[in-house]
Amino acid sequence: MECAKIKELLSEYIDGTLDAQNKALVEAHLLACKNCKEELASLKVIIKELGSLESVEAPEDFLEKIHERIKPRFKLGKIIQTLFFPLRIKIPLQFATATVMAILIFSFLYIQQPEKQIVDIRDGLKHVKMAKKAKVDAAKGAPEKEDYKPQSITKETAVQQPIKERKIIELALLLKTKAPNITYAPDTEMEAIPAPKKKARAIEEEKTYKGAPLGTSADRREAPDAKMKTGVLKEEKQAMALPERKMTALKDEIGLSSSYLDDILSRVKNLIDRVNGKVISIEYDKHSEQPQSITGDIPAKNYNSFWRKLKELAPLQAPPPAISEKDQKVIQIRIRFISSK
Amino acid sequence: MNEEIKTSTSSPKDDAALIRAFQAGNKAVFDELVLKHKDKMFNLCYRFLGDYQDANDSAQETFIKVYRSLKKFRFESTFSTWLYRIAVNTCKNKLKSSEYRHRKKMVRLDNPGKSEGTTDSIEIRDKTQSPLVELEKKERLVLIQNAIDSLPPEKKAVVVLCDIEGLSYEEIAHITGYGLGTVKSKLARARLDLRKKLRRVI
Repeated sequence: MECAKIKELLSEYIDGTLDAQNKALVEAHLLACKNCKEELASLKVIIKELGSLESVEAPEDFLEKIHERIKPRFKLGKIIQTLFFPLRIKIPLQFATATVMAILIFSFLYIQQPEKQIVDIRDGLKHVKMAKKAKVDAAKGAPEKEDYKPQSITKETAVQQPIKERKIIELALLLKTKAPNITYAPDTEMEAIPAPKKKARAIEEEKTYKGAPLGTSADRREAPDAKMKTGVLKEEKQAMALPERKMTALKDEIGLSSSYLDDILSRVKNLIDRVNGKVISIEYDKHSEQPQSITGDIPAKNYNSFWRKLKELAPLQAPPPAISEKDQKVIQIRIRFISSK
Repeated sequence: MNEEIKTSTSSPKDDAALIRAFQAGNKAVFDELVLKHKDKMFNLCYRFLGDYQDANDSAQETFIKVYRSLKKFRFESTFSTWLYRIAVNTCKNKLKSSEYRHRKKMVRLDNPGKSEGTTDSIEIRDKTQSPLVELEKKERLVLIQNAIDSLPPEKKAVVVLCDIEGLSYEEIAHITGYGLGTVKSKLARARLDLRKKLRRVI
């Protein structure tokens, strides 16, 4: 027990740093204990051995090596060397570098892409002038770069114009024919008859439509039964010049009265005006000199309301075609007058 | 013996002047500091690591660290103490490094009969002895170094600083950061450990 404690103090005893009390304790023990005396001798030898170990000197190039290691810190090559060498330890750094490089490359490519797209759009406009798709793309893509905007607009208008002129929506208005030939034949004369007389005739006609519902005059003409009208008209016409009547009746192949047609025509004109449209031309038949069709420009947005109102005038031969190009501001329509025999 | 070493290593006034010159911008004085302390530091590293190349790396690294932080040196301790502290910590880190461990393993696998100290120990010149005496002395030195190598880093640091470098308990306490009592007890145990390990030799 005491030996263990003494052994702990031997180190300091050798160095001469023990206080007087401990020193006396150790010395007293050493006189009595042979083992501890041997231990002391061995420790002294070891300490002497350690102290006498030859000093190992640094190699001659020690300072140079330090200079090499200090300076290249700022050189790229050495940085790479320190990063990648030795490989065994710093493999994670290599992975990190590879990852960073990959991210840089991909991000660089990704950033470049939108520019490329804009160029493509511009090219597309140049080459695919007639394609509607290109127009839509250009309209979408143009605002991205203001530089290209004017160019795309001019192109677009140049593209749009011929399409608009070519695209005419044709509507056929079915007009009811009255009793063939004789029924409205005298009316053909009416073109030559002065206006007051025409009016008087119209009033007379209205009188004959007894019990007919009041509405537009067009409705009134369509509504009543033909037999009654013809009966009354016959009497009237008999009073007028017969040869002339026959002639016009033959001429009037579509079997529509001129006044009726004129009325329809004026109504259609009105309709075009009401939807803020513009009448461009009216086509007349060479022989009968009756209007065959009317062509006009109407705003595309009013197209639907236009044909609905037109339907009120007279039934349409076919359902009106739907407008596919909503972006088109103005559409051209042609309304043909057809008799529904 | 130890006193001789102490006197040769301690020149705090000169060191302080050189450091001030360095801090003033004269980087060339660093070379003087290196030349003055290199062998002492190299020996410490060699005794601590038991390998010449490792000692060279660690000693260089110590001075590189000094170069990079010398501007911040505030003279709170002597340059020598500061230098030893850096060297001891560098050596401890070296022992911990995976590279060092890996290499030691490799050496053992390559030379299963020998311990790690034998392969890398330097030739110690001794022209006065006969070959047989020289061989015996070499073996003795190798065994002593092996015994030092086997010590845990804390004990090793204390025993190397005290018995090989000849530093006082106070200096060791400053370098290692231990209290004086801890230094004494660690030194006593380290010496007893070496005694046990070298019983057959001594």
